[in-house]
Amino acid sequence: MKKENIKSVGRSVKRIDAEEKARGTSLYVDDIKFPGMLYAGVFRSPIASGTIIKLDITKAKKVKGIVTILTYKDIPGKNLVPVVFNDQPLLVEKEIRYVGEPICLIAGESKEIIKKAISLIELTVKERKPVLSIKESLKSKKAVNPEYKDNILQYYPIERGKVDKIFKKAHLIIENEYETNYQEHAYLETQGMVALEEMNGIMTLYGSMQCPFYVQEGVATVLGTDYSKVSVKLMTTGGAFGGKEDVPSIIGEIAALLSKKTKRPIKFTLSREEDIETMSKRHPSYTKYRSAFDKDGKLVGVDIDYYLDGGAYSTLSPIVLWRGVIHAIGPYDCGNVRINGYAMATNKVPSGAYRGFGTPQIIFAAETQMDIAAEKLGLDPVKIREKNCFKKGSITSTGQVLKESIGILDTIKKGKKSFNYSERKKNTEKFNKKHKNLKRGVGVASLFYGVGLGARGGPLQKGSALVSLFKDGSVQFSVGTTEMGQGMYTVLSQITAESFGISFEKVHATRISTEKVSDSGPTVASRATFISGNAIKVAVKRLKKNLTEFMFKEKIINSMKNIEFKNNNVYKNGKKLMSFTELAMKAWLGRVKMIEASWYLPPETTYDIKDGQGDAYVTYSYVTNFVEVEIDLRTYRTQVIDLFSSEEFGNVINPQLAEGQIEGGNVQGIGYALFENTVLSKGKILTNSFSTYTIPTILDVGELHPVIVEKKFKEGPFGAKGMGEMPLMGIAPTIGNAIYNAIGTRLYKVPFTPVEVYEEIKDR
Amino acid sequence: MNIKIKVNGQLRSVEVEHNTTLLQVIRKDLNITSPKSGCEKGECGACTVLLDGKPITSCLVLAFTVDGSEITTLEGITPKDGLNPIQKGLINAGGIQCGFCTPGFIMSGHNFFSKKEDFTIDELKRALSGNLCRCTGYKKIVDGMLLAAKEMGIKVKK
Ligand code: FES
Ligand code: FES
Repeated sequence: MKKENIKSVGRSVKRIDAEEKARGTSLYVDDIKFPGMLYAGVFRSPIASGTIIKLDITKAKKVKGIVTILTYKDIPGKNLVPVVFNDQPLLVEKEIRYVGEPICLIAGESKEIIKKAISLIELTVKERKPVLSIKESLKSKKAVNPEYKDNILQYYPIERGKVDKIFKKAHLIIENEYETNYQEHAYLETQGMVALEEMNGIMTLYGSMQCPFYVQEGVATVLGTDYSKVSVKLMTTGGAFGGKEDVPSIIGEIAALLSKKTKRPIKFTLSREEDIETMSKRHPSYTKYRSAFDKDGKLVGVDIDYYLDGGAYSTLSPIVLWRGVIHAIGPYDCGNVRINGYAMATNKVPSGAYRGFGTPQIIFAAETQMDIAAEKLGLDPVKIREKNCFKKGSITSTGQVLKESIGILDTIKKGKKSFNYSERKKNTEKFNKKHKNLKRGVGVASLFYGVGLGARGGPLQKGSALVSLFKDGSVQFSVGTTEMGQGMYTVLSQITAESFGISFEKVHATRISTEKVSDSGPTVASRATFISGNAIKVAVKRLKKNLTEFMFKEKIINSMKNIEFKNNNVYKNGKKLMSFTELAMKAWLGRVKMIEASWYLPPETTYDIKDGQGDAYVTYSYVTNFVEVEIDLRTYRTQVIDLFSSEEFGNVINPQLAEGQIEGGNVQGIGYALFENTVLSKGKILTNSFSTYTIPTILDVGELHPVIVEKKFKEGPFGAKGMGEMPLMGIAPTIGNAIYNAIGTRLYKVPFTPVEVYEEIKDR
Repeated sequence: MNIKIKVNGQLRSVEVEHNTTLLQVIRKDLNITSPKSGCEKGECGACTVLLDGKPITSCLVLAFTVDGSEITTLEGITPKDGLNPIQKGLINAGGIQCGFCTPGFIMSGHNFFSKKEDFTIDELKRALSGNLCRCTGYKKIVDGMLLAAKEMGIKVKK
C-alpha cells in the first residue's frame, strides 16, 4: 500500500497568523501597555534650512504631565542614526537641514499633554534658502551637508563596450527625459516602538520593523551602551514595504533615550501626518535616457544619466542608487552601456527604501524607451522584448553571464497568452471606433530583479536561524529576518517542515528577536525566503545528522547511509524505522543535541566600483506585465481594466501567498502610476493624509490576474528565488504604454494624474 | 464627563473629555484593541465599529455624543469557539496579510451582509470602499467575502 507523501512546500497552506489576525487579537505596538508607561513626542524643525539661534524649553517643561524634554546635549552616547555613511544626527545641534528634522524629545503622561508642550517650545532660527530639487541641487554651489564637498551623496558609473562609437552608427536613436515623484509607503500601521528597561537593565524595544539589528545598533549608539545590553523584539507589523527598513532606528532611539532618562516605559507612535512628513519614501528621480537600436530592432547601446533626490542625509541612498543603476537597462543583453548614477542632496526629508529600491523610477524610463523604439521600428512591443530579452548565456550590463533559471522569455510568452494579447488589441481598436470619449489601450513592460542584497550588501549578506526539536517531535524555529505581513513565518514553516519531512502543523515560528539569532541583515531585497530558508535548511540538516548519529550509536541502524526523513517517519533503505515522534523522544532520553543555530552565506558576488562590472547578484527574477486601460477623455482619468502580471521567481513555496504578493505589489504600482502624488511647499509636505495623498481603494484597481512561471533555482531553498518587490516595479511603464496605445499621448512624468495627462494632450 | 455605553453587550461607564474620540475610549479605556488607528481622520476605515448597528469610523466620533448607545467591535461578532463566515472566508481566500486593516474590513462586510438576500459585486465593493488595504490589492478580500456570502446562503446577482 502506498502512503500519501506529506508535502508542505508548493502548497497553499493557510498563513499561521491568519486566524489571530481575523479575530483581531494580534498585538501591534500600539496595542501593548506597560505599568507606568509614558508617551513620547518630538519637537521638529518648521523650516527646511537654517541655523538655530535660540531654543527655549522652559515654558514647555512646566506643563503639568510633562516628565522630561531632551535636546542633543542629553544624549549619553553619540548623536547619530547609523546607516551607511553615518552623516545623520538624531537631533539637530545647530544646523537644520529639512522640515520635520527632530530637535527636542518629549515624554509625558499623554499625547495631548505633549502636543501642548510642543506648542510652547520657542525656537529662533536664521533661515537659509533651501535646495529643493535635483536640478537646484546640481546647480547649488553650497553643499546641503558641509561634511560633503558637493551635493553628490553617491555616484556610480557603469561603462561597458564602445558607447560613443555605437551611437554614431546606430540605425535609430531615442532620447528622452523622465521624471518621477515620491512614493509614500502608506503602510496602514504607522511607525511605532515601545522601550523599557527590562530585567538586568537590558533596554528592550518592542516594535514594528524590518531589521531589529539596525534598531539595536541605533539604540546602543545613542545610549552609549553595549549592543548586548539592548534587545529588540518584533511585534505584529502592520505593513512595511521598505518604509520600516532603516527609519525604525530613529523611532527606537527616541523611545530608548526617553525611557533611559525617565526610568519608565515609553511608547512612541507616529500620527499619520507625522509619519508622512518625516519618514522615508521612494526617491523622486530625473533621468536622461538615450537608447540606440540597429535596423532589426536589437538594442545596441544605452547612455543614461540617472539622478535620485536623496534628501538631507545619505541614509540608504547609496544602496538604492546602486540597485537602480544595475537595473537601468532592463532585462536585455546590450554590449555598449554607459550609466552615470547620482544621489543628490536636497533640503528635504531623507528618501530611502521602498519596494523596488531605486528601480521603478528607471524601469519607467527604460520600458517607455523600448515602447517608443518598437513603434519607430514598426515592431510589435511584445516582439521587441522577445527579441532583446535575456536568454541562457546572455550578459548583463555589469558583465555577468546568466547561466541558470532565466525566465524572462517564459514570462512574456505565458503572459501574452493569458492576456490574449492579439485578440484584446483588436477589441480595443473596435471599442475606440465606437466610443468618442472613452478610449482603451493595451500596454506591456518587462523587468528583472537581482535577488538579495548583492555585491553592495557587504557584511549584511548572511542569515542565521535557530531550530529546536522537542521530545514530542514538534519543532520551533526563529530567524533574523522579519514578518511584516508578507507571510514569511508561514513560508519558513513550510521550508522547516519539508526539510524534516514532517507535517506543517508540527512546526512553530517564534517571535523575531535579537536575543535568539545573530545579525542577519535587514528584511529587504526580497531576500527572506532565500536567506532564512537556506539558514533553516542548514540547521535542520545538522539536527538530522545528530539524530542519525544517535541511531547508529544505539545500534538502531548499522550504517548512517540511506536514511530518509519523510511522511512523519524515519526510513532506512526505504524501510520505516520508526515515527519521527518516537525518534525525538528516544533522542531526548539519550541526551542528543536537539537545538542548532545555523549560519548561511550566499554565493559570492563581485563588483568593481570604477566601471560597474562584476557578478552583481546571485540570481535574478523576472516579470512581464500586460495591462488594458480605459481613459475617459472628459476627465482624463485612467482606469485599469485587466492587469496580468506574469512572474518567474524560481519554484513557488506557497502559491496563494505568492499571488497575494503579486496582487498587492501590482496595486501599489497602480497607485504609483496613477494616483499617488506628493506636493510640497518650501520643503514641507502638504499631502500628509489619505485624503490628499490618495492610495488605491477597492474601486480603483481593476481585475488582477497573477500569472506564475516556475523555473527552479538550484541554490534556492526548494528552488525558490525571491519576489516581494517585482510586482510593483514595472506597473508605471506598463500603464504609460497602454495610455499611449489608447490615445497616442506619451507620458514622461509619473504619476499620470488627470492633470498630467491633460497637460500632455493639450501640448500636442 | 461620564458616559454609559453598551459595548459588545456589556454596559460600560467611562470618564471622557469633550474631545475624547470613541476610538480612544474603546482602545485606551476599555482595552479593546481590534479597532485600529490608521489615520484618525476618517480616511482609512481601520477603526470601523458598529454604532447602534451602523458602521462608523470611530476615530471621527466624539465619545460624549454616543452616550447611551450600543457599540459592537470585531470582538462582539467573533464566536467564542470557531470563527464567523467572513473571518473564515478571508483566511481561506488569503485575504489577510499584515492584518491591520482586517478588523475594519470584517466590520464593513458584516454590516453589508446583514439582512441581505442577494447583492452584486459592485455593491459589495462600494460597501468596502471606505476601508483601505495597502497589502493585498483587495482581490483576495473580495474573494473572501464571496466565500462568506456563499456560506451564509447570500446570492450574487449578475
Ligand atoms: S483611524 Fe479612523 S478612519 Fe483611519
Ligand atoms: S493586510 Fe495590510 S493593510 Fe490590509
